Amino acid sequence: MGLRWWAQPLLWGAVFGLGVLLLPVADSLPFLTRANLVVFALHGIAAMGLTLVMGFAGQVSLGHAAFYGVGAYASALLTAKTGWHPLPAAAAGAAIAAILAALLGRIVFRLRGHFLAMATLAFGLVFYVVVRSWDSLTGGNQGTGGIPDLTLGPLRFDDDTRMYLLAWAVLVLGLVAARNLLHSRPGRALLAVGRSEVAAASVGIDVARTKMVVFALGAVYASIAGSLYAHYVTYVSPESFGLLPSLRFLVISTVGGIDSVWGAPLGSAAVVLLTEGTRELVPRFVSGATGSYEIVAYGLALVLVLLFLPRGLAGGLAEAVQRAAEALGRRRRPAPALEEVEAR
Amino acid sequence: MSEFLQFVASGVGQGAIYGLIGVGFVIIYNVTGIINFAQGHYLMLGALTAVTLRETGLPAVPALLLAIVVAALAGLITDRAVINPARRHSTLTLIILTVGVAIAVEGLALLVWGVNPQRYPPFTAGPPLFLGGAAVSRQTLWVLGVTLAIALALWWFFQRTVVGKAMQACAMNRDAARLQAIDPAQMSLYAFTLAAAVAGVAGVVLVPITSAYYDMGVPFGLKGFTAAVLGGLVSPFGALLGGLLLGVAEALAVGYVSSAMAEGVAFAVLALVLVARPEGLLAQVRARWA
Repeated sequence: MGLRWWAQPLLWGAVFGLGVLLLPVADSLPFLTRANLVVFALHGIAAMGLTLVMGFAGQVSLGHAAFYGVGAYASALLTAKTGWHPLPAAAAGAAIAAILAALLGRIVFRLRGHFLAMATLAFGLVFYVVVRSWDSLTGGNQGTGGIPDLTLGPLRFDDDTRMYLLAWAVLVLGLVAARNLLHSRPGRALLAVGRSEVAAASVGIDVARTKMVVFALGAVYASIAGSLYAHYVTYVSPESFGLLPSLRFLVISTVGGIDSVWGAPLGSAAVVLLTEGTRELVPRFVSGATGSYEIVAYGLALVLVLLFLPRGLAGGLAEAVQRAAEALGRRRRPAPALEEVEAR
Repeated sequence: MSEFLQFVASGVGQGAIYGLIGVGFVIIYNVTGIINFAQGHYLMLGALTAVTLRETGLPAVPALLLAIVVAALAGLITDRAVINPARRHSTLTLIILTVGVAIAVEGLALLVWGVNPQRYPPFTAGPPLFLGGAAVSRQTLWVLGVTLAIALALWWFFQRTVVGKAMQACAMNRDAARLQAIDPAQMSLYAFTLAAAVAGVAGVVLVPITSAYYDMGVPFGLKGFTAAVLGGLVSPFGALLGGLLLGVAEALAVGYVSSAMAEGVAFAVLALVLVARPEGLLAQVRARWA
């Protein structure tokens, strides 16, 4: 991108600072807590992986929470049962998630069409069933507890605020990594595959392999978020990794906008507000409402955003900024290069 | 041997339901290119509506027919309100839209019907019948009879009516069909309505067997999709056969191995077919829709 060498760290520092400012904001809003902020950051990280898969492999995954679960259970079991340090445990989880995704991708991406949606749906449900019924390893429905707090040298992440700051830092790092990747040679191959598979194949890009790699990368993002989650709640059970969380990641990515790495944090913030708002409002109109009825709002949000704001919040925001800039009569550049449009 | 027959008999009944859902996947996928995630949710709507209408005191026949109409309407609305306005978007967007429809419908069902399963009595009361040493419930016979009737009706529709042939043409080549003045948007509407109606039928014949619950859409949808893939995802009749195979495989795994297998079988079958024979086990029937 056209930024000077010193502007990059400045930009990312500013983004991180913006996230820190959310702490007092959350305290002053009645239906938000600092715990919501942790959820926002963790889901933002996981959904960023899904954004890469949808935006650049052109495929939708309905089992993304399984990879989140792989990371969470790897961290939980390796630290609580075998006493590993959290960092190698998280790395092991990420490696397992990447391998599983690569295997699944190898099967599915040989086929044309949209088989990944159903294959990942099945994969997610199988993961859920396995975790629930493999009592001796995972603790079954009871789950696994006793996960130690995450420590990095002298730092101990044992409350909402510290965990949020860590998760937000990881999210910003994830943004930097995704952005830099998209500006590298493999990243340009990804953008090409995302735009036209036929054209990409014609210039010698292995489309199936490229998709497989981005799918594995997306799984790594989810796994890292899952590891952080395990240390945050210090207890994991299957419910956190079933179909509903997978759908939630899908809503975050889509509402945020899948053709931009900024979509995931925007979408995650929107979904936190949507979830809290629905839980606040629905019981007032429907007495005795139980279960995860916030999925009504998820479904409506998916449909409305795709119909009226197909590039999501990030795309809508980018257009609004551009229009404002044009209205001011000073466009910064003649025309943005293709990759910049894609990566924005 | 009689044990084996017993498992097959119960598997065939479930399998017919999977097949009916699979039919809808095939019709929509071939006519529009969309894998409709909400397919199992039409079944859920049909089943739950049937229970509620029956509880209001409506006689069985109009209650069941009305429930099927409600399911078909849900398909019609899916197409007109969501798919048609977005038809110029990518297939990826259209598939995510169907996911949105599915979870919105599931959430509404949760608010309307709650989390408890809803029950419905069998169409004809009485003890199970014994056929060749296997006990077959009367409702299973209803399921099989209705499935056969639907298969015949679909065959007639796709072979003998202009609309049916137009949909087939659209499935074979959308651009060529358009040159023959066939409107793909109209065909999409028919495909969604027909697929939802068939799923609604499956829902109302199924509800006396398993009772109805708000989140049955996803598991039944996934098994219907597996049935469709088994049949190669090209022929409604392949999907019906695929459904029967899947139902029997599931019943045998549950009977001989463990009931914990029930969920796993469909997924294992789906993975195996996608790896080994993505064109489906029944590739021979792919040439034509009948």
